[in-house]
Amino acid sequence: MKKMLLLLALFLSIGLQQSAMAQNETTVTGRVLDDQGNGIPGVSVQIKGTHSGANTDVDGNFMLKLPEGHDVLVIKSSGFELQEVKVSNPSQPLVVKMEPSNKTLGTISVYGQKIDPRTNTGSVSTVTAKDIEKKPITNIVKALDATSGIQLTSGGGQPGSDPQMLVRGVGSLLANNSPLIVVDGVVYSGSMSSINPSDVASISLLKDATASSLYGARGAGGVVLITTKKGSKSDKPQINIDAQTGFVSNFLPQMDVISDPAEYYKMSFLMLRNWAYKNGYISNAGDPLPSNVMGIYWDQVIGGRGYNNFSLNGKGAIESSYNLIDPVTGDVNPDAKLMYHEDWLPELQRTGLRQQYNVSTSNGNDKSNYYFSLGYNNDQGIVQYSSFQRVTSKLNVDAHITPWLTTGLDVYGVYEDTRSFTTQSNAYINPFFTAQMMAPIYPVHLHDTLGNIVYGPDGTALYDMGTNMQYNQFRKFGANTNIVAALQADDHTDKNYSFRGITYLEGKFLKDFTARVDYTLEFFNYNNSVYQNMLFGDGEGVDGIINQSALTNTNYTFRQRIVWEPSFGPFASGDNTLALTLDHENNLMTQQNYSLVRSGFTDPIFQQGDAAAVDKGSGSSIDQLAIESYLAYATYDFRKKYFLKASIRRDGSSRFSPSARWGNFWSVGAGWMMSEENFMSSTRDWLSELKVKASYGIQGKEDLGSNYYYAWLPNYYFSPNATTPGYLFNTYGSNDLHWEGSYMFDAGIDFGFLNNRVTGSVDYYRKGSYDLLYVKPFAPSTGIGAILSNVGSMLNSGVELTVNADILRTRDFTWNAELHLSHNKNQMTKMQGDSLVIYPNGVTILKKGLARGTFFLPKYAGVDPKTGDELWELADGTDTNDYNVASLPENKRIMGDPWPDVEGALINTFSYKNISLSVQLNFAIGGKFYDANYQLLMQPSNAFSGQTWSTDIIDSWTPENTDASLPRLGIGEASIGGASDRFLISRTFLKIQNINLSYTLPERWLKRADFRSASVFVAADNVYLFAARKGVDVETSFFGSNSLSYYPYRTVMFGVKLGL
Amino acid sequence: MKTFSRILLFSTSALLLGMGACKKSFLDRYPSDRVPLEDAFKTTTGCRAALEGMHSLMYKASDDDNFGQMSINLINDLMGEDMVMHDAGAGWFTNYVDYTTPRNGGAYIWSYYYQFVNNANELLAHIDNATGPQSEKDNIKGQVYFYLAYAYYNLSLYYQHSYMVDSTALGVPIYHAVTQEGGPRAPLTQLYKEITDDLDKAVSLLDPANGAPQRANKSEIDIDVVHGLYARVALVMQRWRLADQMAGLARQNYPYMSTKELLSGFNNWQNSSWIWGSHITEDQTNHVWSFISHMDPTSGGYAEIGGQKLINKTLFNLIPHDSNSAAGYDIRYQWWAKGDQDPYFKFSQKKFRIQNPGTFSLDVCYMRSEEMGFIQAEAKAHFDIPGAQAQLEEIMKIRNPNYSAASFTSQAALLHEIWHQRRIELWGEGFRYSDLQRCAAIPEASSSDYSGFLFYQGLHRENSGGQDALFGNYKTIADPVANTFLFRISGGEINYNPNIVQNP
Repeated sequence: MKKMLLLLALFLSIGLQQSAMAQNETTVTGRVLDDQGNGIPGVSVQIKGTHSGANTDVDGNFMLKLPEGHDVLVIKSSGFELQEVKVSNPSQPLVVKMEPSNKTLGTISVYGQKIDPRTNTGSVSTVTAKDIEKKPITNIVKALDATSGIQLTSGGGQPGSDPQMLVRGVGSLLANNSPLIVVDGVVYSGSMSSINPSDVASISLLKDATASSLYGARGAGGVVLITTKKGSKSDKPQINIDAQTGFVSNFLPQMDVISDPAEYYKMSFLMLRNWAYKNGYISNAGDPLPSNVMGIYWDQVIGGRGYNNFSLNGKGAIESSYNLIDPVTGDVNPDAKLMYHEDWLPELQRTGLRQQYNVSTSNGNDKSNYYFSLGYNNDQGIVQYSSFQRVTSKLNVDAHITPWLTTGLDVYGVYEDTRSFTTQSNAYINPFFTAQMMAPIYPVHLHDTLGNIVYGPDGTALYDMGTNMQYNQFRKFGANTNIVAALQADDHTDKNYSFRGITYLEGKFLKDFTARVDYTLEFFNYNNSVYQNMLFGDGEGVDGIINQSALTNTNYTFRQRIVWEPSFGPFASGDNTLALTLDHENNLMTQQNYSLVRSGFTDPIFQQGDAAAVDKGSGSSIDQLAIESYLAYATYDFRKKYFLKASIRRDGSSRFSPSARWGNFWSVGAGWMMSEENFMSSTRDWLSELKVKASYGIQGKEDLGSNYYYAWLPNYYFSPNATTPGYLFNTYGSNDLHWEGSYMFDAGIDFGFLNNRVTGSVDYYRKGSYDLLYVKPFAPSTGIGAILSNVGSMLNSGVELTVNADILRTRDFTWNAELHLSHNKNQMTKMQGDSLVIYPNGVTILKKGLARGTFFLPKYAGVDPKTGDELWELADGTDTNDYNVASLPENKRIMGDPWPDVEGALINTFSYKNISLSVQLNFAIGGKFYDANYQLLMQPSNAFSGQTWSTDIIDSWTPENTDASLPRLGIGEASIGGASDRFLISRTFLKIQNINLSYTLPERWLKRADFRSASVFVAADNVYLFAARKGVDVETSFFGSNSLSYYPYRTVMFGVKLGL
Repeated sequence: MKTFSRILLFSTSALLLGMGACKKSFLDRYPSDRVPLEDAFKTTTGCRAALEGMHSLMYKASDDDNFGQMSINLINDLMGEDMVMHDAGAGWFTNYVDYTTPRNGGAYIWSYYYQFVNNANELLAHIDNATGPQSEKDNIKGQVYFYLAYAYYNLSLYYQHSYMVDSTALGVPIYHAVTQEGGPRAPLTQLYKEITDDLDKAVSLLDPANGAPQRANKSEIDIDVVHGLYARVALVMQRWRLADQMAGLARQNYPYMSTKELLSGFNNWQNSSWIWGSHITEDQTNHVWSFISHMDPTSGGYAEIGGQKLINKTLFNLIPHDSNSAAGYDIRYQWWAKGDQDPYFKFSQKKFRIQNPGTFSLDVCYMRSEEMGFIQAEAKAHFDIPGAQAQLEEIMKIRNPNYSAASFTSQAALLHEIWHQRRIELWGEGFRYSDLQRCAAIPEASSSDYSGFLFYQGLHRENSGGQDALFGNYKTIADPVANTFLFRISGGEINYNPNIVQNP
């Protein structure tokens, strides 16, 4: 029955067509609207099969004459999906609603090079301005957090810090694993935090070899292609204003630690009792501790040179006697009163305020166009005094000098001001180390012996520096500093000034040729200043110290390009399209560094070098890195059905010796739009698009960072002896050192069903790296113990799936779901043949056949119930309590790797009339995580160092608790708590990444206020994490390990967006 | 229009070609703060700079507890019983006090001395091809051979029992050329042959009689420094006459310091008795990563926050300190605090003091004539008892005018007295652990029936003071040749040198 109806409809439409053909010309009017119902100006409306068409006016209206035999309009607008509309009734005005091209379609045009997803043969994911707007982000990288094939770290909590990126698995050992950043067609070497997300028109991830090989030699780790906004044709200037403000707060709960002073006294007492028992000071575990041993305890933990939080009979800290602690059980005398207890975390943390304002204006006509923007950010961190401020400004102008000559300029200036603190893992001035590890007996503020806070002459509470002999207090943890006071009194500031300008001249000549010359100048000035005050802490001994450095990075890229797009003979009809590009570019980075250290201040109000009396050294250096590239690139397509791409390039880098500095790389790709074939016509009503594609290519990598600018050169460094110049051996070099290579095979299918209501793609890839650059270790007795070499090969292979579907689509309500899944497997395939085994750190192994970052650890075998010793299982299956034996390579085991089996994101967007709600979930399944923070909190051997422990440690072995789950508590027990699989947890997680609720004001309201568009929104980022252990951010690093660094934060933002 | 197009085409192509033509120079880039190896040794000026670099390695700081020879001196003393840490402080060095770092294969000492070997071999490989006067080459080579001997001798102290315990035991790998291939451990006999051969070469090359110039300052190696190291080596090898002779040569130009100098803080290389030392300028010290930060509580460094170094209480109380008594008053009593007096804790050291408060520039001493005097006394005690008594009295009378060695008539009693005074004298200068190791091979050290402070073979800390704040202070190793005395070789060497053998 259905079939019959369809057939009938088909006949009817043929009939209509025939009747239309009978007329000569028909006038069609219509309006093109965006997804929120606003007219879109400047949209191209073409009549399919002809060269004629029209552009929409400022309100999105168009009018055109339809010639006989043509009734299909092709509507194209950047940022929206291309639409074909059939005009069935020309007398009725058409209303065309455009869909934003966040799915897969939409051409990205970058300075003469086009990535058209339709003809593309590789794998590209694109995020457009529309998606970026939904996320309350300061850093543009975060916009990629729902893209298949990319992995991001959480990026830490310091406002302005950059998350790290990994495309299709880790591909290098030493070389930079991050993708190459290309902004407006030119490699960008600045910080990602310097880019204002609201200036970005689109951000694309190029994952396969054909796409990425065009953007510099260094694309083997993938390419992130950022295209900034430009002006478009319009009758009047378009002005956009957005203002957002909101809050940042701690996203990660604290681990459960012993936070009760009495409990802490008891735990340290038990450690001491075990020590006394083991060393023969008591013969039975239940005996009371003799007074000389109790004396040690008294000295170390309470009274003596420690802290006593309790008072017995109102005597206060000093008068209290041993009676405070029961010498058998370690319990605090029930008559004793707690005098004080202060928690450090609340003193350090805050709910930060975050503000962001952007204004932009743009316009254009046939002769020229422009885009201008100003942006301001002020982000407070969740730690007191940490902040990030940014001012950005951008101007982009294109001018058509003559019909065949175009010139343009893009200028971007940024000022950034960051205030932070050290996050060095075990520094007492790292607030997170202190907050997590500080024993609960130590107060933030100075207390007298009766437990009262001591106030200074100005009435403010004094801080406790932990060295107050007057009150007989000596903190075991970070004496002579106080992180709460240090955050206030010390200063750790980065001020950065960035400038980037691109100028170009492009001309057409000899009919089919285009020549283009462009010059990009980047200038980054990074100023770092670390001041440590003269009153306490590390700066005290030298009366305050200032350490400043200025690093100026000047980077130019000069590029010449010729493109030939023939239009004669076989190319005239449009069935064959060919483009050939020749390209040459020089890139020179010059880095100039100045530094100074001075000490000896007279007063804490002075914090600059001139106020300091003592010169503690200064220095300067200049480094240069040069890269030169030649590229030939061809694309061909036949009837929009068959696509071919090929490139060949030759790149030279100054990092390598003259005999090895050039590398040759190439790529080929092919695509077939199957759905355009005639034999597929029967499926066209449900299968709107089907494309198969494959590509293969080889790319190079040389980015070893600033430590290896002269990687090949054996050299000495300067080490004067007092004032006499001196050299010391620095490193071996090698003339053979050469480019790391990477090949990438990619095959995939792009599909669209039901008139592209469901779209998506599946990709399979194999990405192999060879000649991997790495520091190959050798015996330290040879003096240096390492040499940079091309050591081995590695393979990443995987599958990626992206599906986007309008699950429900009614007049008022739509439900769109977008799913990204990726699976990647990493394996070392060669390590100088088979033999080389490297232990990059105490917990991992690098060896043929294993994934990078594979955990290699002693196997925990529980607790010896007799002695409470920690046991590990040896290779022969027996247990040992000797960690030196357990940690020998022959006894360690492979314990899995940090890489998840599946990673993904799911975004659900619900729209009802003008209200839209989207929820993004990120997740990963599988992989291991080494919880070093937890290990730190499980160290009995660090007893009496003033640290606290995880609450788990309560179930430790004691003579009374012999079937405990954890080994004996003891003192100086190096053989307890060593690295083992005891500290490995699962990396699986589910995170509510982002929730966005927005309301677009109806047009009829806006007309009165003369607004083009207006919307309000509330958005939350980093909403909630479900993971294996409370307080662990499993996304903190790719390699599955953590340190006590800046916790990530949750953001809740409220905002208004106006279009004038 | 067409003309213009052609111009554009032409200029673009010209640019392309132009770039191609100059590509060689475009990609040649050299560092501004590194010296390419091929340039470093072109002239003797470069070779001299490479030698100065080795002098700077003596005090190069890379971490809070890694600041060259002075940090190893601290390790040496903290692993004995005479230096006691008041408290863990920020935790630095405590893992040496309880022997965990040495037994876990801490890498610092191993890789530190092998840096000398590597730099020395690189220099020796190139110096003959450098342009410059032969006398300059000889002087540099003499100092380089000294550093080779110095490095191997120091390594032998930590990675094997003393030479005379078992001279066939495995020492450490010897390298005669720069290599990336780890070598096997040479037996101590071979290692000490290497050391004495290198010292012989250094003596000959640095002998003023052969035309060696006078050194510029005390950081350079001259023949006196070589003789001093030779004396240390001979003492370990129990070649008593050689030790006496070498020590005598070493100290002949360096009169013993006066009482004033003894109390002046050990921070100035103008001191008459210093044979070898370094001047550390303000910009070459990372202030908390320094010897004085760990020693002087007035410096604002680690000593202030609990890491103060105290003297063993028993040893301290044995220093005569009553000028009215027959024993007299030994001025060295003032090297330590008698009671708690802010910022010093009781028994805290005051021997080493900061030179200029507020700054960390400092001179440090690696060898002084009093040590040579003690070597002579100890050596002579084996063949010339009156000579040994005289040697000892010569030093001691400066410290305590009442002092007399006349009562120590037996060899054993005299040796015990010499060792006892040596412990007090060289406290904090990096000798105690290696003296314990060395005395394991001296029978006289095992007897314990002498009056005064007992000299033990093996480590007995429970008798050594009762400053109990640090748990490592309780360590006891009763067997003088116990394996637990030995440093184990670091994991990096074990992992990447197939020829190495680990210590038990």
